Amino acid sequence: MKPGPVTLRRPASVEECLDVLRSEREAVVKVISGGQSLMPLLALRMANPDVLVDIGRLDELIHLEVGPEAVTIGARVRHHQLTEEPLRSLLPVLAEAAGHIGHTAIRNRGTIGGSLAHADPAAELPAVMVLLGAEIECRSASAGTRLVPAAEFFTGPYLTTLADDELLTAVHVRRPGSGTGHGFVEFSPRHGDYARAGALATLSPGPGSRIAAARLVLFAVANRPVDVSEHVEVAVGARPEECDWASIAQAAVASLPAPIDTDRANRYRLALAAARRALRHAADRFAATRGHHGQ
Amino acid sequence: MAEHRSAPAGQEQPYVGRGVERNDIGSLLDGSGAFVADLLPGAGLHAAFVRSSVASAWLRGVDVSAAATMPGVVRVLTGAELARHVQPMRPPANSTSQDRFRTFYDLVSHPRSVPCLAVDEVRYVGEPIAVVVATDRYLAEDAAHAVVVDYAAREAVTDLSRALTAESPVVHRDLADNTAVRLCLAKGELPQDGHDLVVIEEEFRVARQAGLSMEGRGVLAVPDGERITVWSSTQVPFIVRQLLCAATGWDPQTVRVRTPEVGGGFGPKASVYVEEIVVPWLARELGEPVTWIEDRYENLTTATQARDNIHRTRLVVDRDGRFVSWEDDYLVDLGVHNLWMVGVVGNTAMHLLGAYRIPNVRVTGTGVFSNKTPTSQYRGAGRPEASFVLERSIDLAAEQLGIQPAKLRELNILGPDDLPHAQGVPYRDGVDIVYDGKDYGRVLETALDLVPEREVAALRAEAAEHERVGFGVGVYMEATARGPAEPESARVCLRRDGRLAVATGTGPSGQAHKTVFAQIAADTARMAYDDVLVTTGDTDLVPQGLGSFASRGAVVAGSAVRYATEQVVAATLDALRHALGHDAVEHVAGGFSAPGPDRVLTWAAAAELLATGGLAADPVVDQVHTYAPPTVTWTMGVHAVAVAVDTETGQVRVLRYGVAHETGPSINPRVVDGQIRGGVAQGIGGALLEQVQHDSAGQPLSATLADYLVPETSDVPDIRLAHLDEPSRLNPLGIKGVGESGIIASSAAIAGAVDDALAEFGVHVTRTPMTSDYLLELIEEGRR
Repeated sequence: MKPGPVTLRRPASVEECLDVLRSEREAVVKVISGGQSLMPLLALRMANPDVLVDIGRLDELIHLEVGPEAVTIGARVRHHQLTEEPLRSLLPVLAEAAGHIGHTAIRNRGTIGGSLAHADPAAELPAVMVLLGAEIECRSASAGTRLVPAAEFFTGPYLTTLADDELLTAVHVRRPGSGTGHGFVEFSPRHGDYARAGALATLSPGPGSRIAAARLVLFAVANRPVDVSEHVEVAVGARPEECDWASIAQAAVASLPAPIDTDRANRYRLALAAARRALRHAADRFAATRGHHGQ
Repeated sequence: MAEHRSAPAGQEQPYVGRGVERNDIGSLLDGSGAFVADLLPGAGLHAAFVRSSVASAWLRGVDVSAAATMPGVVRVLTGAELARHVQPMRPPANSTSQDRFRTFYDLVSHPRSVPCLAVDEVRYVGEPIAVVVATDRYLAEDAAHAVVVDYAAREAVTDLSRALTAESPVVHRDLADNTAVRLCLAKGELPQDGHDLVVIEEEFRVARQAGLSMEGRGVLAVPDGERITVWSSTQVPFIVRQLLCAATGWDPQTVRVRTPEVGGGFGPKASVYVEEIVVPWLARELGEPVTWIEDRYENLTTATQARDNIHRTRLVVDRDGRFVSWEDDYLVDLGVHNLWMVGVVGNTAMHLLGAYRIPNVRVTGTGVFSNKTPTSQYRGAGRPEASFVLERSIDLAAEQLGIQPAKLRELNILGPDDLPHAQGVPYRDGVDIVYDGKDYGRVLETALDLVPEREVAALRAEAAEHERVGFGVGVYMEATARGPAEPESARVCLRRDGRLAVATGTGPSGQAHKTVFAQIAADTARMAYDDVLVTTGDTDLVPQGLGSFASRGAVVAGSAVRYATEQVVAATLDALRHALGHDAVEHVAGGFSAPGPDRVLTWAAAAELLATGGLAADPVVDQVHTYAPPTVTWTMGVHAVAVAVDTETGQVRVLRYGVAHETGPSINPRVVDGQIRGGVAQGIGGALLEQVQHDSAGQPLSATLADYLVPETSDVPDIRLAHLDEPSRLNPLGIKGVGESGIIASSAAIAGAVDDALAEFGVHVTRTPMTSDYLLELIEEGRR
């Protein structure tokens, strides 16, 4: 379990990194950030890149900008930081989800950009990005900077629209409206394991404590996060306590492609419980935040 | 300072029985303790093994030409070449069973030798085929990947339920079928079926498990002139030396096997492995130190595994709830080989006798060869399997009878009038089984008090809407410290500085051997605990030893330490009397009395006196004692557990856990508590998470720690303990082993609690582990 021979490049700036990625376009290149997913794959020789580009020196990717409408999180921000203030208050669903990634030692090394670029279908952060409608910032020497909606970024298991010479540099996340309730539920054999199934929900308030927007995303049940928000639309205009969350969850899970094996079927059962609970948590928090529902 | 500092004369207090601070814990906690991988010499060579990627195949060719010329490569060795110099590894001498056992159990056993590197066929994924030695491990692995193996794949034996059918391929071609071991145990007569009897027939499965240690295996062989020192992360240094010398033909006098700190053993490291032969052979061949450190992939595919059973059982109970008869016909998948053969299969049979009055018993146990990883014992070694199927059957009978599971146990458990209890059946050491306990009913009662009904009721009341709370108990027997053919030596020396140097053949893999042996020696010599220095795991230091397994270390080696220390006291007294020309010298607290008013010779003064008197240099006195107990001494216990099961996900949380046991007095209560707590943690793993899986072609599906799941701290609740002492008469310390107490009844107790929690769904757990998927299926069946 030792990695095979590989050329290690350690650029000192984003600009230099993009040059490296452009110049190595003919080679098999992997960018390594915190290494929490990639190192085991290298050690098992399941990943055998020619060139490993270590972005550990690119401190310019460790940034957090909080604007009135949106938050920008640099690619090298560690999972641990996602669970802390100010993000904990700004994006509570992100903080809660990040707390389910591995354990402290893993969260201290792993980075948001690494997790998103890795695109494990059972990982938490891609699902959060889809839920929040985030935009993924990708940069290359050839094409400059482009912003890709999260829903389009993840294309399959460990697959994204990131080009060979592109570096994921940041994510831009719209701040949820005041009073938005969220729910995050994942089931895994042990805390910190990849999910067997998970669900995330947000319910945003409008006039009269009625739901103005509702979102639901499932993960670890398909080859990428699945946005099933259309099945929650029936809740829009209603008060949370009037909604039949069990039926909504049922409809959302029923919309998934038929299970291909018993593993997938069991994941669907878990996803159903996760979706139901995530919606209920969101409803509880929605109510708690408003504090005067029913008026 | 800590309480173990020398007690002032006159206030002598024994160390045995006290929770004195461990004398080796500092180096384990601060990182200065050295494991095999910490010993690597700067200039040494590293080995990497080329391992089979298929479960069963003819080897058509092994092409090492590309690998041999790669950077850093010093040597590439194939099985064909090695076989010209080294014999296959043969099972150890002490794996042979006693005659009385063989006869009584009608024992059939087909032990197989193992080629050190595969020659013409491979029989499991991970089997070593060739080895590369290079200047570092990375280069060795690069070259190992360049070795080209040409396989002609064959059908693999992977399904235990079909391995004995006529259609099954045969793993060892010189055998008629895949039967590895067969034994039968019969006691009493089976009754005719009657309408007044409750009959519980069931099929149970116990999953294959890894005895996962934090530190994997590892070997460092250092040639030194005519001799060679082999450092190995093993529980059995003497057996490593025995098998290494048998395979290579080396003189045991030229081989020193040593264990540094060992980061967990649990049974798999009580096996001997071909790497422990190949690496020393290469070191001598190359004249340089050679190291191989097992990585986690190798650990999960090639370190021996255990359990993997199918049981067909029948428990008959009369309408008054009294056990009438108990039958079990079980299969144990032993993988491609097992050095101990009878061990686990026999342990299961003997522990199926249970802690109850069961007049009539029929057991047939069959060990079966397959194309899976070799097996050995893993903590519990047959006992958890026996406890699981008997206790499960009792739970099912209680349900049929409409009484509480604990009540049915109370009706049948051995009480003060039954104990000591002769089973009329021999143990594996050939001596008839006698449970040397006092009152097992009292243990059951104590365990029930640890997790009382009112507390369980409160948990039920607090449970979330989708959760159900249940309570279960599991009872176990634990035979510890086999006799008389398995001795241990202790060597105790009085050093010139007045301290005692104790050496034993059995040593720790995380346990506290050095502490408890020092406690025993200090009390026997009546000296300060800190003045006893214990060394373990060095075949040069003691003449004879086996190792740490089967809950034997404290009883067997501890007793040897006691006797050897007594010999040191006696020899020192003799020498002092001679030196002082006086018979009035006596052994007293802290040393020896000598003629003259209030004159006490401390151990240091006595040693100095004898040394300068020219009687000896250093050590001043050197004594060895070899001890074997007459037979096993029995620990018995009960686990009581409350769990919550999520009815929507099938996930189990262990909420409360209690263990009450009847064992000997503790040498060190803190050490005993640690043994049990660690065992329970592993027991929870076996009950809920751990499962070595292979696909039908024999490919391992659980080769990383992302797939082979063990419990984490957050999965293990506080564990409540109750100790009931009943001294053993079988050894001078009156003690019994406890190394496996924590793990044996976990699956049984947790399964009982899960059944109780899910009673509304009619759930009956019949296998381990109780994964979320498994319980979801049972719940769904119940809903239909």
